[in-house]
Amino acid sequence: MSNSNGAPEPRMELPERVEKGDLLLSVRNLRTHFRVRDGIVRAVDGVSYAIERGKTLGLVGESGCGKSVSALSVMRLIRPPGDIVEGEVMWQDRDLRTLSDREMRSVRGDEISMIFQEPMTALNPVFTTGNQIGEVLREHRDFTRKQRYERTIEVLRLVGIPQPEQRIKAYPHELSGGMRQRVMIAMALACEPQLLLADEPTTALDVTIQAQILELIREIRARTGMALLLITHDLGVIAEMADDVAVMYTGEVVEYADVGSLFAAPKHPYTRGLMTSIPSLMTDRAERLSTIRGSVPHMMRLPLGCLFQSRCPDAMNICRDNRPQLQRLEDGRTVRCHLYPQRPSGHDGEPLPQARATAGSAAS
Amino acid sequence: MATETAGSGNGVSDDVLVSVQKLTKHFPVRGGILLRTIGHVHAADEVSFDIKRGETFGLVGESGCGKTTVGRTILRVYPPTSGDIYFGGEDVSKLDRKVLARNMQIIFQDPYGSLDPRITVGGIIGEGLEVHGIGSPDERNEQIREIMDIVGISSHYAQRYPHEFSGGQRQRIGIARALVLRPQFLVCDEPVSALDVSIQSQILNLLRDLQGEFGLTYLFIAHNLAVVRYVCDRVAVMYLGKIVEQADTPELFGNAIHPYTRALMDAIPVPDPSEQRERLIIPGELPSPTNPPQGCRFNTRCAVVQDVCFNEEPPLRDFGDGHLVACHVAEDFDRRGTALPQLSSEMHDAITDSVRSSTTD
Ligand SMILES: Nc1ncnc2c1ncn2[C@@H]1O[C@H](COP(=O)(O)OP(=O)(O)O)[C@@H](O)[C@H]1O
Ligand SMILES: Nc1ncnc2c1ncn2[C@@H]1O[C@H](COP(=O)(O)OP(=O)(O)O)[C@@H](O)[C@H]1O
Ligand code: SF4
Ligand SMILES: [Mg+2]
Ligand SMILES: [Mg+2]
Repeated sequence: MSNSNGAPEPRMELPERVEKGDLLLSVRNLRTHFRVRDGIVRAVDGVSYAIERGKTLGLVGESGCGKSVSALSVMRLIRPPGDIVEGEVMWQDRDLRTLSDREMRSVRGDEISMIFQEPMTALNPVFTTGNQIGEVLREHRDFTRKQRYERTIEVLRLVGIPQPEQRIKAYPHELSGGMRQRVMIAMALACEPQLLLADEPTTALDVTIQAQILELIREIRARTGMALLLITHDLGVIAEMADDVAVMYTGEVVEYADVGSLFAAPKHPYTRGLMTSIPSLMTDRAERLSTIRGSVPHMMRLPLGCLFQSRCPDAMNICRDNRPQLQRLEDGRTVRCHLYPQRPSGHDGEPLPQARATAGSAAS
Repeated sequence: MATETAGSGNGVSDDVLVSVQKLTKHFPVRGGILLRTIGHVHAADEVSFDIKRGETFGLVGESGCGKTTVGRTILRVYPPTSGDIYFGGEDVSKLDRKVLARNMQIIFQDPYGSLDPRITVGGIIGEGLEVHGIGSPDERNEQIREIMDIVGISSHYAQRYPHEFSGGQRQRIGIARALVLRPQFLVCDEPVSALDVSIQSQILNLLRDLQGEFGLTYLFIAHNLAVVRYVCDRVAVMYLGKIVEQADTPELFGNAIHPYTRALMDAIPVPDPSEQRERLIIPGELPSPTNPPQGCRFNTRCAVVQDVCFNEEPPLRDFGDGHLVACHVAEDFDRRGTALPQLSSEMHDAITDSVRSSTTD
């Protein structure tokens, strides 16, 4: 792990505790861009996050903010016109970006697995459940046919699929949404990965089925010590499942903290807006809901300064032209916002003297 | 004590705008090479409720339980299989379609699919005025501009096309289209489910403002209980084509009685990491609506199921102040706020297995 200039500059992108943890996965300054007809979509633009062994990192943010792309980048599943243009993806002591395709294939599905947002795109409609799980095992394990069959039955049972001996013959379209999601999880767990990337694993499901799937993931996590990257836009799911949370907005992480601190005192205006605008079972019915005004800016027409400025209730002059850097606050979390003092030199080396002056007077 | 709700007859009281009486809607299921009818989807079965003038009545339940079917049948998008609907005391089946359309409108879930991409926003909003021959072209344009401003879309954009707008703005356009005829009653079918979280609250506030401004009555359909609790005055919970519980909102959320309602509430993730809960997780999945279980339709997943639940369909009974519950053992859970017992894992497996075998074909 080294900087572009090799200097041992302290890294401030991650919360202090995470930085010091026993990191299984560490993504640094990841940039994944899509070259489209009228320009470049900076889907993921300088994102850093890390997951400790056995821990769960929640990734939240509105659709289009780059959650799926940042997970797919780890798996090296970005296809043209997309490309990882910068950053490192440290998996234990290897940078996954430097692996050959063959080496990467042996990591994928074995050490790291992913549950995809769209079950039907991940499951092949012409193969049975058994074939698909068997295929993963064939790729990564020197099993006999019989061992493969037994392991398949075992993982189907593990994910709560009744009568696995029959289900193994079912095609994806013969399964309900909840069952399909379980099959995807079974596939992802077949080789007992150390890390599971779960991209909106319950978004398409009803709440009672969601509760079943989350409980299942929790159980497996507790039993195997598997680490989890959980992508969702549901703050309730985050609160119940995550140890740490990274909040994303238009391709950037805007706040990153442990789950307790984040919910107790959200710092970024976007995080605050998200938390107060969603009705919960506690919301006062007589009050108007607070809102985040406007909508997410178009990815091809991003402003010069803070990407949240047009919607921010706290925006100041400095926010217009100066992109805030991720800063570590005293409690160890990181926030990307001029309301908090900016360090003199950002990661990109942009000096921000005015920033400090204005932010200093605005911060309370 | 609980009393049977009387079949309300046709006498619809004055403060009721929409009265739904024993509404049943079955869809034929066709199969074989001759596409003969081989069964029926029981999308809604004997659903009854009254919506009072100016209130928001909520229908909640998981996908496939029949919410949209009820909403659309009220609007006569689908003819009912049986049962009656009264609007302002009048039998809807005897009303002219144009009269209906002027009085009842719908907002759809999908702000992308529900707007014709080839028509300008002004054209989409004004279509109803044109169809009903309301006003001169100039007057119509004036009305379009006015309603656009009311829903928060600048009327300068009347000549633009739907794809130029974000999801939240499109939903505003859908609301403008529904309101331009100044209806009294609006079916809001999952109006925020497809929207990003930061946009949902904008639309919910708008719907609330419009209700105050125009004295609107809403049927609000959603699967998100927290949204329903915030928006609705009264709520009915549906399961597999049936209403299983109905009450005023504070009563329902403070004293849910039906085991399904309680499981549904329990399943909602709470955005508070300091709260560690032991939650009741109901096993299995929704049985097939083509062949709903005998007796209580929830019997394949219920934690407190009794023998009687397999034989007799529980009627909706009034537990006081219009809190209706359809459960044989509801008395045991009334006014106590007690936790439902957890299922043993054997029972869990047995039920899951029986559910699977009943829904696979
Ligand atoms: N194949 C692609 N071509 C062009 N743009 C893409 C492609 N895939 C994703 N994007 C863009 O990247 C951004 C991030 O997408 P994604 O990671 O899927 O968002 P999220 O998962 O947070 O909803 C979006 O603006 C999306 O339009
Ligand atoms: N036009 C239709 N033809 C056949 N079946 C339908 C039709 N519309 C809905 N259904 C079925 O009726 C049941 C209830 O559907 P719906 O009213 O859409 O439920 P919800 O809105 O609660 O998700 C489902 O099983 C659904 O598949
Ligand atoms: S930097 Fe400025 S505009 Fe951006 S979130 Fe902070 S206060 Fe708001
Ligand atoms: Mg995504
Ligand atoms: Mg529906």
